[in-house]
Amino acid sequence: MTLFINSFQKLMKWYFTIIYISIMSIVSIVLGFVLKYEIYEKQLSTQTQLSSTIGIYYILIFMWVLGIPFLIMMTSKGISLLANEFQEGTMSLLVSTKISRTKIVLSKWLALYITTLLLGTLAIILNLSIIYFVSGMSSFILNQLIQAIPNLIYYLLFIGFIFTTLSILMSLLVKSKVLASITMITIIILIFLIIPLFKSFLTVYYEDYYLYLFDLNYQLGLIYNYFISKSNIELTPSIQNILGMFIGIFDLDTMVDLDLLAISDTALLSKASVRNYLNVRDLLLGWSFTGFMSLILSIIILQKKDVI
Amino acid sequence: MSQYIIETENLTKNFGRFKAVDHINLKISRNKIQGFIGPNGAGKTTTIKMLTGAIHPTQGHGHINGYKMGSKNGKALIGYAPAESLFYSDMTTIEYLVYIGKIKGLKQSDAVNKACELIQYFGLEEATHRKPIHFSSGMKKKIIVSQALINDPKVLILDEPTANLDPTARIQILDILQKLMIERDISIFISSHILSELESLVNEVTLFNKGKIVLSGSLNEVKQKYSKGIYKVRTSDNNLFVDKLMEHCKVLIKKITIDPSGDLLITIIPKGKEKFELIIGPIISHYKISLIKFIQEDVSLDEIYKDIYK
Repeated sequence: MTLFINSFQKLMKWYFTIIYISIMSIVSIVLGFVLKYEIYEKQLSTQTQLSSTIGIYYILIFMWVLGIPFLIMMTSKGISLLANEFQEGTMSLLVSTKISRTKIVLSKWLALYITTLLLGTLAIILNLSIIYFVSGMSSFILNQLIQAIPNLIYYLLFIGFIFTTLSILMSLLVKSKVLASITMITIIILIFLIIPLFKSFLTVYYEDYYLYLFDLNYQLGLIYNYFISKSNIELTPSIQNILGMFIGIFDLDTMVDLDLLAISDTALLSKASVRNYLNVRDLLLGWSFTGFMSLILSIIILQKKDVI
Repeated sequence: MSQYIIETENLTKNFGRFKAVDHINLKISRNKIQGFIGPNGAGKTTTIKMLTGAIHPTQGHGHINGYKMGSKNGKALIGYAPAESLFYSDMTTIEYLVYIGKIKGLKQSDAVNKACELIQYFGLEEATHRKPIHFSSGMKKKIIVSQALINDPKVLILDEPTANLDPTARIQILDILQKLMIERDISIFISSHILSELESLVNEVTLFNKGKIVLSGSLNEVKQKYSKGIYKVRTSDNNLFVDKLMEHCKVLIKKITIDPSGDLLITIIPKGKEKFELIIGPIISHYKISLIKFIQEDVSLDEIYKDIYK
């Protein structure tokens, strides 16, 4: 328990939390203004306003709130948790006490996972609050978005588990803390930035060469869509197209520009269907198993490791 | 219950092809201070880290008070002070000691009490609410030894506790260790290559080189074994004494010289010491010579070390 509390306190340092909240808030403020001037101040139907808001909010959560900066920050912190103990030499003190090596890994991971869940949930709620106050959205849309929060938290539980276990494993596999962090940051940027950018050029080869098996953006997108689709909020084809550009799970008839969002209506685009190359339940099971195995492997590695 | 608190059997550690520790059978007596002496790279730290459970042996095993080395029960009996000063950069002295205390299984209140007690014991009051990373080497070392004592260990394992310290800090640390030995029911295992200071502290020594135990035993036994058989003698009539000595036990004597103070320095052949000491009594009483000084010249650990590692 002591090790867990100590790790948790280290992760929840006030300056880290403030920096994190600030980064999250800046984008929400900008987005609040975009929604205000591009959606709510234009004469659009409530349904279009709702669909557009939800779509943008979902993209924001996937790419930003629980995406690039969030995962980079949490995995870097996770890697530091164990790597610092090795770097500062304090690991040799820890392993000489009666606390078991399994407990060391589990305490550190649990502290990281709980911090991830707390900060992730805080970010989801904070973003929604800022967008609400800045954009002046109607309480009807706000209520719809609030209803989507539990499903976003389910996704957070999933993605948090995968990335926290992977970062703990990475900190034990790679000796250098910097190298481990760079590896994880590269993976995250590949998933959320590089793959979406290049995916449109690879469509010809995508199915022939089974690229979806390596396309983590598609796999995570499919899982994300699985959770958000439980909100029973109908996404308009235009929103599906925009989501499709970032998440890459829809069969797109037409690629649309973001500017089209404000003027889009259901008549312009036909409804997109989800690309089911892979079964979402299999993916959920597979990734959960990967996370679980990462944790087991981390325990085994630390148990076998000579702490010199 | 075994007379030894720590025993190892064929303890071996290989790093790739390099044999850092090679089939050692270490025995550390209860309530004694055992010195673990060897040059840098001899395998002292690797052995210590195997005892504390940080490094896994390639072969062999060991027990601490009957519990398997590296096991939870075994580690609970140990207080370990590493050679380097290892601190958390964000913790003050008291936070650090309380944290280590809690990691070692103490309750919050007990850990705080124990930390305060150790701070007082080591004279660290001024450092209580400051971060140890900014302290002098001496202060850091005191904190490192304090954390090793926080769980009232049965065995205190100290890896080079006086390395890189100024003479004052060295003396302070050694005084504390001596005090600990007297006041507490504790066995101390201390590795060092500063032999002169170990000599005044330890009861037993183990000399270590290239991963192997070269010599082990009580300090007196070791000194006896490596004694050069030189006696410093002064009598009321040195000339007569030398004449009679040469007459009665010439075969035992290797060399006789006179030192600047006028004392005789008599070097005895190996294995001749017992006979020589027996014959002195009859000679002085028969020839009515008064014996003013009769001292066997002590051999220092430094000399033994040089003898072994030459």
